[in-house]
Amino acid sequence: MRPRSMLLFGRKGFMHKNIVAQFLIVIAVVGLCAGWSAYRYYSNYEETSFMYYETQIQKAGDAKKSGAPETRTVETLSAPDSPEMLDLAKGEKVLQIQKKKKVIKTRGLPINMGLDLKGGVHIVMEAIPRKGDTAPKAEEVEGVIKVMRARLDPQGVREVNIQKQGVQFISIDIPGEKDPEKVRESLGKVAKLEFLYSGDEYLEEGFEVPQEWREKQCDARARSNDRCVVIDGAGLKKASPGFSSGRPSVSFTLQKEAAERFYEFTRRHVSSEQTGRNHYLAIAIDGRIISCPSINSGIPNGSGEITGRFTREEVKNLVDWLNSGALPLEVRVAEMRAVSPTLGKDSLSKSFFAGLMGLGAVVIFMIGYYRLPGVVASIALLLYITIMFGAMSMINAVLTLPGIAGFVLSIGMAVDANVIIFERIKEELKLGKTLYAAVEAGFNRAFTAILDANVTTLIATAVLYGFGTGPIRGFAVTLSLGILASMFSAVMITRVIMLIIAKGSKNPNLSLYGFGLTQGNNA
Amino acid sequence: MSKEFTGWRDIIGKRNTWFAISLILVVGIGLGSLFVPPRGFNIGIDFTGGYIIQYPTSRQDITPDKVGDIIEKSGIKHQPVQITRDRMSQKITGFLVRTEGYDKDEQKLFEERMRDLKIRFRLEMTDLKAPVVEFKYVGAEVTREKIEQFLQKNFQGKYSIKTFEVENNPVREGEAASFNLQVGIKGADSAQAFTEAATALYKEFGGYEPSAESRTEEVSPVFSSVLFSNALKALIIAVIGILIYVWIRFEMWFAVAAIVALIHDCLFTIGAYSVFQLEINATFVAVILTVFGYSINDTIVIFDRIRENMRKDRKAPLAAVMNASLWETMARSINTVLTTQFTLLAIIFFGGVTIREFALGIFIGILTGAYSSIFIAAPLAYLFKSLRGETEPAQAQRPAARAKKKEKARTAEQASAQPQKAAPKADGASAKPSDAGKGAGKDSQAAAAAKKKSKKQRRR
Repeated sequence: MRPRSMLLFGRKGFMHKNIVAQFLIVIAVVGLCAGWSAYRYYSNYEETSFMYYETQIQKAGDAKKSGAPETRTVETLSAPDSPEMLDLAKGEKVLQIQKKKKVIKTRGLPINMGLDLKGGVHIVMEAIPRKGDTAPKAEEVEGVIKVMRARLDPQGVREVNIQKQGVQFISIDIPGEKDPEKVRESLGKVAKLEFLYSGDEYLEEGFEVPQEWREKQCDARARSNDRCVVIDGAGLKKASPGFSSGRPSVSFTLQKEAAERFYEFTRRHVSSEQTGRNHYLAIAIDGRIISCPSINSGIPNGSGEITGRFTREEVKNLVDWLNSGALPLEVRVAEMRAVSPTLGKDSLSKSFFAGLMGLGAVVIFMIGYYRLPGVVASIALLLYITIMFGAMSMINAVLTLPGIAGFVLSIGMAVDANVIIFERIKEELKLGKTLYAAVEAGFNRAFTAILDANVTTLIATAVLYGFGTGPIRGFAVTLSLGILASMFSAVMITRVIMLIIAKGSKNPNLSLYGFGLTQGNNA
Repeated sequence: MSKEFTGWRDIIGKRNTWFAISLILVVGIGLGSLFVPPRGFNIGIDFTGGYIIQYPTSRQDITPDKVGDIIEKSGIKHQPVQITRDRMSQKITGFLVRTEGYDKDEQKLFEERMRDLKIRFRLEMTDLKAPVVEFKYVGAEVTREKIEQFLQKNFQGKYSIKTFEVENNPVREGEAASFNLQVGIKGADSAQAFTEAATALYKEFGGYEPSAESRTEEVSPVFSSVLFSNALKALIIAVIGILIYVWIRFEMWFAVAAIVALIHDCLFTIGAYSVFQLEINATFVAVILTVFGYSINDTIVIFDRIRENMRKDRKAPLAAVMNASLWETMARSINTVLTTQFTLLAIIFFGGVTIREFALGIFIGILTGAYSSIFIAAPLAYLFKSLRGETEPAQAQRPAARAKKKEKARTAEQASAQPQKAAPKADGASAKPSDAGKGAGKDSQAAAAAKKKSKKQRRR
C-alpha cells in the first residue's frame, strides 16, 4: 500500500529527489514570515504622551554643607504643592519643580489584536420592530446603521466596525474605547426631535408627551386646545452649538419646505399680551420635553435656537444626535462586552508568559524523549512559531485571548505530527532499515494519518469560525492556521533537516534516535 | 503485530470493562452531579442573560460578603462573588461579579439598577483612597482654573478639594482637543463629598466620568437565546461534517464509532463542567469543538494504523489487528496528550483569570478525548463489526459469515440506532457468537502470525 500522494512521496516523487530544493523552500517560507513580522513590528507602534512633575528634593542636613547637595527626585502625576504628597522627611526641602512630558512608544506584537487584548467596547444592539411588524425591515436596520456610524464617528477618522448580524441585530466594535456607558447612551438614543404645539399649556421640562399628540400633524390653523406636531427632525437641515444669554444652546436651521411651514405656523400663533393668551411651542426629544418657549413672533428663514438647562456636553451630544438624524427604529442593548486596555495588556503579558512556559515544557519533553530528533522537532517548533506570526500578520488575522490559548495549545499539538513520524522512524529502524531509508519511510507512512487527522480538526475549526463571534472567531483562525503551519513544519521542516542529517552521517549512532532506549512494544 | 495480546494488554477483549467505566463516569458522575449540590450546571450570562463586571482594586480587606452586601442593596440577584488574586503573591487584585438573568420586560429597570451599582462599587470597593473623580472634557473652554474657582466658591470650608491635570491627550486629526481633570477630595464623609462635587461639576461643566471596571459583559435575554441556538447548530454541524469525512475516508462503522467516542467526550466534559462548577458560556462551544478536533485527530491516527494493518494482512482476525495497532500507536497517543497538556497546564497556572476556565475545560476534554480514542472508539468499531460478523476475515469463513450476517443485521441495526445506550446490552446478547469467534481466532492467530512474518519478509 502506498499513499495516494505518489507524485510527492513516491520513489520518483518530488519529496524524494529534491532535498536541496525543499530546503530552499523551507528557508524562503520561514524567511518571508520572519521578515514580514519584523517589518510589521517596526512600522507599527502607538505613541502616548503624558505630563508629569519632577521634583528635586534636597536631603536633610545637606543645606549648609559645601559641595554638591545630595538630592532625590520624585516623580508625580500632579503638581506636588503639599508636603504629604511628596512624603518629605524632616528637614528636607524642595529645590525645584519641573513639568515634563513623557512620550511612550508602545510596540505590540506584529499582529492585530482583538478587543479583549487591546481594550475596547463590543456592543450588539437589537432593533425593535415597529408595532405590527414581526421583524424590523432591512432598510430600516440599514438606516439605523447609518445613523450609528454618524454618531460614533462623525469625522470618519476612528476605527469603528459596524455590521448587521442576523435580522435584527447590529454588532459594533470600537477598539480603544474606554467608556461603555457613553457608547450605550450615544447609540441607544433615538433622538427624534419634535416641535409640538401645546396650545396655551406650558409643559414642564421632562414631561412625557402622550403618544396621540405625536401622531397628529398640525394644521396651520390649529386651535389652542389642539395638541400636535408642527415639524419634526426630518425637516432639520443643520444643528450647531451656540450660546444664548450665557448658557449653552443649540441653534438650528430648517430645510426650505419645513421652514415655510414653521414660519406659517408661528406667524399665526403669536402670543398676545392684550388678550393674555399664550401659545407655546414644546420642543421634545424622544417624546420628552426639553424646553417650552412661548411664541413671541413669527419665525422666518427657518432658523432658531433651542434653549434649555443644558450643559456643554449635553449640547455637544444633542448637536451630534440631531445632525446624524433620528434612528428609524428604537433599539436596545443585546450584548455588550468591554475590556479596559489595562486588563487587556495584563491578559496579553500573562498568556505570553504562559506560552513561553508551555513551549519550554514541550521542548524539554521532546528532547528528553526523542533525543536528536527531539532537537530537530524543537527547531521545527520555533520555526513553526515564526511562520504563525508571519502568517497571522500577513492575512491580518485578529489575535484574541482565546486565540492566544489556541496558539499555545497548537504548540502542544504541532509536535503531534512529529511524534507520529518519529514513532514510525523507530519502527522502521527496528525492521533493520538504514537510517536514511527509515526516515524516508517514516515520513511517507505517517503522512496519511497526519492528513486525515488534521482535516477533521479543520472541519471543527471551520464550523467554529462560521458560528462564533469576536474572540471565538480569533480562536478558530489561530487554531486552523496552527494546523496548517504544523503540517508544513512537520512534513517539510523536520523532514528536510532529518534527511540532511541522515545523509550526512555515515555511521549514525542509533541511540541518538531513541533506538534501543525504550523497549518497543512489539519488539 | 506478531504478538498475542492477553491480560491487560488485550484492549479489544476487555472492551466491556472500558464501556462500563465510561458509562459509570459519564452517566454516574455527570448526571449525579446535577442533583447533588452545588446544584447542576453553572450556566453563564451568554445563555441566561445578565451582567459580568470585573473591578481592579488593591484593597486587601475585600470579602465576597462585603461585595455581596453592596449588590443586594441595589436589588440585584447575583451569583457568588469571585475575588481575583495574584497567582504568585496571593494578593487581592480585584473582584468579579456575575448577576442572574432577568426577564425580557425588566431590561430598562435592570440597566438602571446596574448603573447605581457601578457608582456604589466605584465609591466603596475600588482604590479611591481620597475619592477622585476623573472628568474628561472636549474643547478648550473648560480649564483647570475655572474648575478650581467653581469648587472654591461652592465647597470652600466644607471639604478640601484638590484638582490636577492628568493627561494631555495627543490630538488626533479632526478631533477637538481634550484633556482630563482629576479632582481629589478630602473630608469627613468623603463618599458623600465626592458625589456632591461630582454632581455639581457635571451640572456646571458637563464632561463625563470614565468607567472604573476593567471588564463588563452584558447579554440581554433575547440575545442569549440567539447565542444558545447558534451554539447548538455549531455542534450539530461539526458532528455531521466529521461523520461524513470519516465515512468517506474509512468505513461507516468506523465513522459511527468515532462519533460515539466524540459524544462520549462531549458528555464527559459537560459532566466535568457540572462537577467543577465551570461556567458554560459561548466559549464552552469552542472548548467542545476543540475537544472534538483533538479527539477525532487522535482516533483517526489509530484508525489509520488499523486500516494499514488490515490491508497488510487480510487474514488476521480483527481483534488481533486492532490490539496490535493500538499498541503500536500507544507511545504516540501518550506523548501527544502529554505535550498538549503541558501547554494547557501552563495556561491554567500562568494565564489570566479570563482564560483559565477555558483552558481547564479543554484540559479535561482532551484527557477524555485521548482515553476515548484508545478505549472507546476502537473497541466500539470492533463491536459494530463483530455484530455484523465481519471480525473473521479469513476467506474460508466468508460464506458462513455472510449467512450469519443476514441473521444478525436486525440486531445490529437496533444496536446502532442508539449506540451509546444499547451498546453494552447488545454486546451481552451477542456475546456468545463473538466470543466463540475469538476463541477460534486465537488458534488461527498464531498461524496467521507466522504466515505474516514470512509475508512481511517477502515484502521488504
